[in-house]
Amino acid sequence: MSTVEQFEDMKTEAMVVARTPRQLAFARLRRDYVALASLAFIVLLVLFALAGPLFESWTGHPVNKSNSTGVDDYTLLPVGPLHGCVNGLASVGERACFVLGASNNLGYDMLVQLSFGARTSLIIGIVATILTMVVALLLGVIAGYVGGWTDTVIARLMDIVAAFPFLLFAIAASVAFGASLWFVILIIAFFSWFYPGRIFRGEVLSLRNREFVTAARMLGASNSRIVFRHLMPQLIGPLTVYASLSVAGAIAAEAALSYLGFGLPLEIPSWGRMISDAVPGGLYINAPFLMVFPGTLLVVTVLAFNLLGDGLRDALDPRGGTIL
Amino acid sequence: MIRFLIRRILGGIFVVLVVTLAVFVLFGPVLRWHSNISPARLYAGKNPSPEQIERVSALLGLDKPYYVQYGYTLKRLVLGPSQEERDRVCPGSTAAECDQLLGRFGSSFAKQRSVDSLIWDHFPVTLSLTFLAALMWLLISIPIGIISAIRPRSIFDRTSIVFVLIGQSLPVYYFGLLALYFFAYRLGWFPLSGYEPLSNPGQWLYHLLLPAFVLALQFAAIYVRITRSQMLDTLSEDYVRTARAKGAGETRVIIRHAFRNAMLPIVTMFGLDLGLLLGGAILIEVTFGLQGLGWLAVQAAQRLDVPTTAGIVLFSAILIVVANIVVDLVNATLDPRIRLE
Repeated sequence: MSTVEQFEDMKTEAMVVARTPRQLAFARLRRDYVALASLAFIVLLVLFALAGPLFESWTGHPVNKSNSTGVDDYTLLPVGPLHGCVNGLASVGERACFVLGASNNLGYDMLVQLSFGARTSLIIGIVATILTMVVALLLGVIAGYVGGWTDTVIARLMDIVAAFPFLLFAIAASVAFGASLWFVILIIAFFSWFYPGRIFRGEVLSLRNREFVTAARMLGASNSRIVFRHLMPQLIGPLTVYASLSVAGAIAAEAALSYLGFGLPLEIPSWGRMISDAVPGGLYINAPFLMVFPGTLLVVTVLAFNLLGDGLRDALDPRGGTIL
Repeated sequence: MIRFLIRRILGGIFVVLVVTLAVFVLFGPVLRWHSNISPARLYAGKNPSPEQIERVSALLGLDKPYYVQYGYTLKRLVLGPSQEERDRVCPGSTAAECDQLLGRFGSSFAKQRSVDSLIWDHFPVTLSLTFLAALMWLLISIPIGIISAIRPRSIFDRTSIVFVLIGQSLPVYYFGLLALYFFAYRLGWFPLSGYEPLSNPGQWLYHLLLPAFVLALQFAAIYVRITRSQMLDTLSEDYVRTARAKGAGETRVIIRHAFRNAMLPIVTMFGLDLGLLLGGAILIEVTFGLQGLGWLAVQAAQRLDVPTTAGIVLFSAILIVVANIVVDLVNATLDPRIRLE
């Protein structure tokens, strides 16, 4: 066999395919079942949040509306899961069925409140994350690329924000600003940007003096071209990772604020407030499902975004091993 | 070392100044113009007449321009209330009586007390809770982290990673409610709420064990991770190999050589996370009915008791800044490289 034939033979035996880092990352992600399960859960959660009006018409219990049927006449406790679902289906007009029970002692429907609460969590998680990432990118890249005094000032700013006691300050701020959706989003973004900002700053700082940047500068590229075409694409990896972690953080922060009774106005349903509804008078002792439904949903949601972030980090890590 | 200390203290003072300014802006202009709430009106009681509001406004010094008010707030924070304010707020009473009514942080709207005395009343609860939690947190996380690092990818390591993830994602108040339900209500091992002062150590511990454990577990989860990765890093250092080559026992290598060096970033993180610990303490205090600073802050904020809320935020910020300086000092003692930087 000639050398050429041998080579041809090898080629058919093991096909060597060139793959871009992005393709490799996707391949790694496809094999990460934990990350995939998290993603699947997030998709389901979005559907669940969108289905809110459907649940309203299906149960006949509008959101934020008290139902006398949702409170037990004798114990005065919120009714439990599947209450009235056997006989209730036959009743005319408003169905009396509470699939997951009532969510508080006013007889709100748990299923409907959970679904609209999911909307609140997702909206706050996503909008706060977008704001966080924009500010973090802007300040992080400027600090890392420009350096000097600008860097010192921005780095000090990050240290100061990090030193603020978030929850305490958010409570104080909510007294001054009053309760609203935008207030919650802005206060969460205000206390979140410094962490990814530090990461981006560090990345740019280490990339700034690399050969490809010097080469680009020698070829006459402007600062904005270097930043947008050469540096920014390198930040997409950390950006996706910290965005996912930031959604988890924002959802948890909103729930904590709502649990304490600050931030969101009462007409916006929130899982955190649903958990706190179980506390007065030790309601959760007699009706633990009041805290278990919103609590579990909150834990799994935060866990899913955290796990997705971890999965993305592993997938985007070039040392992540080979994929066949 | 002295220069390092001075630089850190100046930095800390700057941070406290920024916090005072932020709090002042929130409870001055923002409260007045954004939410249209006047503190004088709040203080004057129900349905006050305009004259009453004016009188209260003068009494609290709220009729002066904002920069004068801010300057005075800062001066009072450092030097204590001026004689002029003492005469205005508590005329005809002795100095000790006036101290109960007016302090460095002003006086509460909701109670006829100085914010200082309120803070000192409630602070021991928070201090006990956070101290016990921090102790448990380090005692849980460091051994687990070290063992995970010594045997990476073992069953122990994998189990601890699951524990870390759950601990990270479980909101501390929800975990607290679950713990109350199972350990306090179902099993009856712990009280459902309340606090006992340290003068009765057994009861003190009995009442704090569960809340402190819940608070500690959340942080322990993150610190298992940090300890593990730091230990993995230091265990592969040259000096560890050298120590082994010179015949040092494995325990000695791990404790004296690897762990001592792994401790530096852990101490730094610990200092930075004290703010988070105070935040967690608020949620725990509310859940477990412990009347600490966090509980007081929530009560005060609900009643629009502006000076008390502001006082607690400032007090906590000062606490965090001081703790960070102490942490830096500890680090500088542990690692000479930091001092020389």
